[in-house]
Amino acid sequence: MADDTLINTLAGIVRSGAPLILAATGETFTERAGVVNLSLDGSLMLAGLAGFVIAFNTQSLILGTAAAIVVGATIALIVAASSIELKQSQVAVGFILTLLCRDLAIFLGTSYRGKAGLPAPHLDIPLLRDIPIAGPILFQQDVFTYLSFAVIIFAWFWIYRTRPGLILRSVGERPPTTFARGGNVNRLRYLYTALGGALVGLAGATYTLNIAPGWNDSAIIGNGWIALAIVIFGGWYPVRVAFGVYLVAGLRTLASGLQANGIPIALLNAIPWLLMIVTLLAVSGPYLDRLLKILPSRLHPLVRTLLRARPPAALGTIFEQEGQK
Amino acid sequence: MDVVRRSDNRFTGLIRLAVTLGPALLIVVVALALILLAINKDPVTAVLQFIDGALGTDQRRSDVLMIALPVLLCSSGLLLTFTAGLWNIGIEGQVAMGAIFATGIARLVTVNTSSWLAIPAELALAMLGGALWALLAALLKTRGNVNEIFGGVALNFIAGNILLFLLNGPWQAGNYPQTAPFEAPALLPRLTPSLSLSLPALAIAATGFLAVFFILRGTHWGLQLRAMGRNARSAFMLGVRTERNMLLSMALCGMLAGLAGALLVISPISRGKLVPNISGGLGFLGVLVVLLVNVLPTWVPFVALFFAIIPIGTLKLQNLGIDPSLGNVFQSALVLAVLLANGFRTRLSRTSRES
Repeated sequence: MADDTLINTLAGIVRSGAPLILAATGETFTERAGVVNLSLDGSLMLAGLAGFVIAFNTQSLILGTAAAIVVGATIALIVAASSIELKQSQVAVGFILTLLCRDLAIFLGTSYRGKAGLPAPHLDIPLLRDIPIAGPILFQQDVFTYLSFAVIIFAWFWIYRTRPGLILRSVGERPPTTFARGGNVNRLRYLYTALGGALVGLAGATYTLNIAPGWNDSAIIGNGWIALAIVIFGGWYPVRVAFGVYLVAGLRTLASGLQANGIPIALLNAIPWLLMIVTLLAVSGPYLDRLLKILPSRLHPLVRTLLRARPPAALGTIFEQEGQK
Repeated sequence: MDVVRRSDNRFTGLIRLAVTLGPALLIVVVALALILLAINKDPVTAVLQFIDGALGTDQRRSDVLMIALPVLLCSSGLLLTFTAGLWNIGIEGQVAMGAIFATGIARLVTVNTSSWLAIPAELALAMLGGALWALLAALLKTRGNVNEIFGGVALNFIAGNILLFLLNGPWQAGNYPQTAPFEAPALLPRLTPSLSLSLPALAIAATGFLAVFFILRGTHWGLQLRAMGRNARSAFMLGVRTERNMLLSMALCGMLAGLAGALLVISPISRGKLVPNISGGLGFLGVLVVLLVNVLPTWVPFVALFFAIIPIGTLKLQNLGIDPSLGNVFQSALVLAVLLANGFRTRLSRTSRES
C-alpha cells in the first residue's frame, strides 16, 4: 500500500506541474525569439478567469479553453507590438500588463468567486495505462496533463530538430543574421510571442478548469513569476525547463506534507521563493565557474548542460529592420 | 538595460506628457465606462460618486493627501533606481520591511514614552529595514548576477510571508493576524482632531522627495547615476564606480520605501497597528508613477497625488456595488496607455519626418 501512496503522490506532482510546464515552455518559445513577455503572472490570471467564465456560461470545456488561449495570445501580442511597432521597453510594458491583467481579473472575477466549476474528465490511455508504475503516474491523467507532455516533446523537437527551430534560435541570438538570410525577424517574433502567449493562456485554463476548478485568484497568483524563473533555471532548454517544473512541484508537495508537522505555514510558503533565489544564484552566479574549477574536467560538459544558463543574446532588444523603420 | 527613454529637457518633457496624457486618459476612461456598462452599472453616476468620494469633504481631501505621501516616498526612491537603470520591483518587500521594523519599536512604546524618542526611533528602524532588504536584492544582482526583477519578486513574497509569520505567531494580539493597536506616543500627531492631516508625515515625505530631486538635478553623483542608466558599461569605462552606485541607489530607495512602510503603520490614516499585506501594492504604485512620468522628477508629486485620489474615491463606489479594485485597473491601464501613446507619437513624428 505504501507503493500506492507514492505513486499517487507522483501522479499528483505530474498533474500539478502541468500549468507550469505549459506557461514556462510557452515563455521559452517567446524568449528564444528574443522577446520577454514579463506579463505571465497577470496573464495566467486573466486567461484563467476567461476560461472559467466562458466554460461556466456555455458549459463547454473546449470553448472555455479556447477563450483562455485567445486571451493569453492577445496579451502577448500587446507586448510584441509595443516593442516592435512602438519601440517601448518590453520589460516596462510586460510589468504594467502583469498588474493590469491581475487587477482586471480580480475586478471582473468578483461575481464568479465560489461558483462551482466543471472539472476536466479523467482520460486513461489504453495499453499505456497498464504499464507498471509509469502507467498510473503518466497515463491515467486528464487532457491538460497530456497536453503538457506533448508540449515538452514538441518544444524540444521543434527547437532542436527542425529547420524553423534553427531559425527561431537565430532570431533570439543574432537577428541580423536571420534577416541577412531572408528571414523576417519581426514577423517571427510576433508568431512565437503569440504561440508562447497561447500556451500561457492554456496554462491559465489548466488552473481554473482542472487543478482547482472554479475561480480563486489566490490559487494562481505568484505562479507566473515562478514560471518565468524556471525558464532561466532551465537555461532556455525545454527539457531542463520541464525538469525544473517537476522539481518545484515536488518540493511544494513535500512542503505541504511538512505542514502537518506543525511548522508555521507562512514559513513554508516562503520556501519556493528562497529556492528561486538559490537556483538563480546557482545558474547565473559566479558559483558555477568555481564549481567547475574543483570538479574533474570529465564532468564539465555534464555540469554545464545541467546548470549553465545563458540567455539568448538578443533577448529584450529591438530589431530595426532595414527599409522598414 | 535601457529602462525607458527619457527626455533631458524639462519643457519638452512637459509638452510630451500633456500630448500623451490627454488621449491616454480619454481612452482609458471610455474603456472603463464600457466595462461598467457591460456589468450594468451607470458610468456617469459612478464618476460623480467617485469624485465626491475622493474630494467631497475636508476629511476626504485630507485622506487623499495623506495616502499620497507614502506613494511619493516610494516614487522618489524609485526615481534613483530607475535613473541608475535598475528595476527595483522588490520595493513592495522593502515597504513591508519598513513597516515591520517600525512596528518592532512601536509595539514597545507605552503611554509614558516620549513621542520625541519613539517616533525618530521608529523612522530610523524603518529606514534600516527597507535599506537592508533593498541591499539584499542589490547584492544578489551585483555579486550573484541575479536579475533584480526576479530577486525583487522573490524577496517581496518572502517579506510578505515573514509578515504573516509574525502576525500569526510572536506578534499576534487577539484572534486575528494583527498586532495590538499602538499607544498614542508611537503615532504621528494629527494637526486637528477631525482631520487625518499630519504635518510631520508631510515633512518626512517632502524631505524625501526634495532630497532625491536635489541628488538628481544638482549633484555629480546624480549625473553618474544617469550615465549608468544610459549605458552602464561606458559609464564604468569612464571611471564611474557602477557597483557601489547600484548598491547605494538601491539602499537609498529602500530607506525611502521603509519610511513609506512606517507611515503605513503610524500615520493618522493608518490603522495604528501592523496588519497582513501592509503594503497593499503601494510600492508597485510607485513604479507606475515613475513610469508614467518617464522618470521626470518634477511631475512625481502631482501624479502621486492624482493616483492617491483613486483608492479613496473608489471606496464610495462600493455603494453602487462596484468593487474598489476597479481603481487599480484604472491606474495600470492609464500608465500602459500613456506608454503606448508615447510610442505612437514618436512613430508619427518619425514617419512625418521621412515623408
